[in-house]
Amino acid sequence: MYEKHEIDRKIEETLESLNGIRRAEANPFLHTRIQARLAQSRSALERVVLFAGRPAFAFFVLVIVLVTNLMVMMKGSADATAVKQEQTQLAVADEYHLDVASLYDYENPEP
Amino acid sequence: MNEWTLIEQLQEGDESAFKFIVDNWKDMVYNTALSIVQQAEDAEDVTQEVFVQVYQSIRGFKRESKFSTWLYKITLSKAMDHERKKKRKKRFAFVKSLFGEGSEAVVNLPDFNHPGVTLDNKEKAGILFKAMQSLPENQRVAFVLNKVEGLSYQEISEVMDTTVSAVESLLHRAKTNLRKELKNFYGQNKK
Repeated sequence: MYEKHEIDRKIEETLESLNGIRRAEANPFLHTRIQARLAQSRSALERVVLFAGRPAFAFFVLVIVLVTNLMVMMKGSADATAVKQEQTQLAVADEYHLDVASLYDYENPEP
Repeated sequence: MNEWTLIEQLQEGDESAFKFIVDNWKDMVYNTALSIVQQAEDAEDVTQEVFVQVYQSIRGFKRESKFSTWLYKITLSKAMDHERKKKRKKRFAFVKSLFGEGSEAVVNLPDFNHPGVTLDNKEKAGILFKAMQSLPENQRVAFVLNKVEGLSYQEISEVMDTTVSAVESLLHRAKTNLRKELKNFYGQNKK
């Protein structure tokens, strides 16, 4: 019982141990360090922008875009040709009644 | 200097306004970060990241709240991110050790000693800070803001974007959990 009281007392004292706490003080040279970090991040961004602005990089991107466009156009044109061919075949088959004979036609020929 | 004037100047890129903000708010940011991450070097890193973000995103500050509220939010977000990263590293190191990889020992740091605690409370405060590490994030944040930064329930509710009664509930649960943790500690360390 005494031990329980003792533990409870210690718990409450521990919970109250932050009473009167003062703020911890930051490094007095913090502003200088922040400026150094900002300068670093600026120079990293500048490096990316400079690289992206180089003529060789711009030319490379242009080539990629053109090649992609060409591939899409060629695929589109190939698809259009295939569709046209299929349509022509269907029209000829229809004109000359070249339908595939079905079992019904064999068993029930026209009189 | 008026807070809004200062912010306007900073939004226009005034470097002296930024220095004024850093000099006047650095202790608040550092103290909050330190109470969460419980290591001076890490707290300094977090503090620097906070002010870098302030500098880079001040134009996005809409003045819907006080500047200090906004600053607390950024600080707590960075500090908790740091804590989550630390926990992930520990878990990863533990899993690696199960497979026999990595001979680095997991270093158990000594109890955290907050420099602002009174001398006669140092030992007990160290035990309390250790117990705080086991609290769920929201409870830990509310407890630090109330007990270490001395914010009122209203101020805490503005920082945490919640209601005053939710803050009361968080603090009540935090104390209950801390009592459990401390009971285990004192029960095992009878002196």
